[in-house]
Amino acid sequence: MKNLLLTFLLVLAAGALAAGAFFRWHYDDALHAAAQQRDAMKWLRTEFHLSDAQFAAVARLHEDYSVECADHCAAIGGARAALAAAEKSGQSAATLATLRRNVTERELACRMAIGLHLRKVAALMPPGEGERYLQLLLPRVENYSHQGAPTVRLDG
Amino acid sequence: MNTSPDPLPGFLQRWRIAPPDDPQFRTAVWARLQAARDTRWAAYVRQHAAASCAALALAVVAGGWFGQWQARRQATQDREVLTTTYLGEIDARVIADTRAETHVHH
Repeated sequence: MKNLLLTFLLVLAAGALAAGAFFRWHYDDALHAAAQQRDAMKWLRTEFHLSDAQFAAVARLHEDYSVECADHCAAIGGARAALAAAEKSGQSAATLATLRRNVTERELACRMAIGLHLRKVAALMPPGEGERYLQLLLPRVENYSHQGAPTVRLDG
Repeated sequence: MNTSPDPLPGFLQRWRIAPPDDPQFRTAVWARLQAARDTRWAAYVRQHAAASCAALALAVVAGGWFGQWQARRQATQDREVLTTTYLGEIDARVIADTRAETHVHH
């Protein structure tokens, strides 16, 4: 009985050792560090294997886009605020419909701008990586819902 | 007929043993016990070689699969966090949501 228990414990230890070794082998330190720091740019660099020059170009593109993004943000925020105020004050259905259309148009303009921006970023990436980048992000941009955060399950 | 008393009981009564002191005696006994125990386990494993090997292989394969699965699960979670963070920085709709939420909470 003692021998059986000892054998069982040794087999268990071997299994735990294998689990630890395979975990370390497949574990992505850089990815986890970037996630903990919420450092999306660091992630872009490692995830899509960007060279220094490519990373600098992508960073510059993001910097330029941030101005346009701020304009879209202000426009969407303003349109939503106007709609919320109109709903609260009991405006007519026609007014609400116009304001809703305004919000939708602003969001559509924003979506188009992001799509274009993502494609520009993808074009700067190494062959293959740009496609992967777009496959990962474009569906999230397309499936955005104001009701909550974008919902996309990532595979692999 | 021999009527002389038996000398053996007297001899046994007087018999004393004075073994030499051996400070390593206890350690040596335990070492021998341990060696015997080890031999018994090794023999046990040899007797059940097929089952032992199968169990070991199964444990290593299952452990390896579990470790890999955990690492991939972690990577998926990390990518989810980073993708959300990234889009939160470039998607004006998400930024507007966040600002509105922050405004409501304050």
